[in-house]
Amino acid sequence: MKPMLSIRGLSVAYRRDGQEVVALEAIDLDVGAGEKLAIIGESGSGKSTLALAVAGLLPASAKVAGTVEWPSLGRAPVNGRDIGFVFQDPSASLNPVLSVGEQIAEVARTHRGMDWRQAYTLAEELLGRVKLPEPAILRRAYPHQLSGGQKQRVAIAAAIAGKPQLLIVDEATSALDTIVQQDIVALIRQLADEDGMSLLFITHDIALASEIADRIAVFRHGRLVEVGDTGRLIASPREAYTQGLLAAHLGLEDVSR
Amino acid sequence: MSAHLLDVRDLGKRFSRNGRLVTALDGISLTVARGETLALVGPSGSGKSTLGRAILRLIEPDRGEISFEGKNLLGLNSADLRAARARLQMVSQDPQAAFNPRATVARVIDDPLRIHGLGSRTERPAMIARLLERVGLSPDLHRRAVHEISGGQRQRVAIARAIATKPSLIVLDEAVSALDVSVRGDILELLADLQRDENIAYLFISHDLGVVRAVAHRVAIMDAGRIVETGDARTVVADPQSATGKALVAAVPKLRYRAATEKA
Repeated sequence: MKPMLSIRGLSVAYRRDGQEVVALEAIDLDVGAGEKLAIIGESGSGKSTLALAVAGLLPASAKVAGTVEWPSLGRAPVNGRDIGFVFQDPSASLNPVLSVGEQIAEVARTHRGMDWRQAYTLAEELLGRVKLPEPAILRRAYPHQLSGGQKQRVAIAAAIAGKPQLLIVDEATSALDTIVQQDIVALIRQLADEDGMSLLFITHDIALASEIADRIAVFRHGRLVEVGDTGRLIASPREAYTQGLLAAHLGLEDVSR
Repeated sequence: MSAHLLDVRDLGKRFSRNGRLVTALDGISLTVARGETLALVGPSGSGKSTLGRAILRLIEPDRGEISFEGKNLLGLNSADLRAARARLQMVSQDPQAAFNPRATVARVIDDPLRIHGLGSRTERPAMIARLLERVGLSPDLHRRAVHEISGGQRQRVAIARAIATKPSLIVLDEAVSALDVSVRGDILELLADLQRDENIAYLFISHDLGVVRAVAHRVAIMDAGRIVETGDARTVVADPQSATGKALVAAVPKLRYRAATEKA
């Protein structure tokens, strides 16, 4: 089967203070249709650059080499329709002066050719799917009236309103407390399963990655350290760096330390 | 007076938000012994940061008492409060936001020394060098601007600044939450070293029970401005009794050794 997304020899460099800083170096990576792939790494690993490169959102000044192809799509992807993106800070990605219903409906209008009435009906349905209470009332609310977790649910609803084949989730739960994080991650997993969406789940938390992903790719300093099925990578990591990440993880599992 | 280092009794604080009164602290009582780490854990909005700020007197509680080193902290005049503040320090999640970004490392550590009259102008550079070494940094770093150094180095500088005035209690408000895991372990080790050598107590505010279990002696679980459960950290994490404690423990991500698709 053709992979949905195929990355070959991808390198990205930024210019900072007149110097070239390499953010990604010669990355080869595939994402299958319906596959949940977690990208994990620490700061400066290049994991967010990878997400931006896949979504075609790199700044124009970035130097890019290699290819990002969509074999199963057979054409260039359209953001919003083929790719949905959920960022860390929903306050920054949601428009503060539009009602949440309008922001979700706008995606459906733009990418699914719906009229406003159809789009609002869909927005209400999506607010229900992301498990927000009373969608008919809530669609008239503005982002500032919602909690951080509720805003992230709205951002997810907007991200899936175009029925994308790939959902990119970049540290979307890092600013939320653990109880809300657990609910949001369960929701993302459920939506991906129900819609057969592929998932690119970017996180610094290897345990969180293991809870949602079929495969995990470990990044460090712009390079892909290793990639493997979640169970194999957690139980028997091949690279010393992955072993170190697992050793540094402070969970509730009983470990001698 | 209380034999505890810190003794908080029936602390209350309400804020007015959008015309509504929100109860942030609803009758909080707790104690911290010298050299002890008490973790405050709870969902966002549970009041744990408000409690930390009230203990530092960065906000004024509506009611209750705070005894620190045997003194009534809420009754101190400004000169006595300043003296008490030398013994009561804070490290926050993001020291970059707490520091003047253009300040040098030396300036950031010099400020508390100068304000609290510790050392003369000629003595302080050597004191700063010793503090940098104490937190595992090269004294050569003193000329660098705080925005130029790494997040882990910046958190070490924040710790050096906090210990400069020889505190008996440091409020650590999500102090390791923004750090990479590889850096986090080193910072936790440094904090443990300082506690052992200087008998410093920590009020460790965190949302991360995995970290709390590894570093805290006792834990107080907060929800809606109240302490709903308190006890030995490992015991509480292993067998929480309160609904909030159970929910927090259940929500900690766990390393899965099977692929998600293999799960039932």
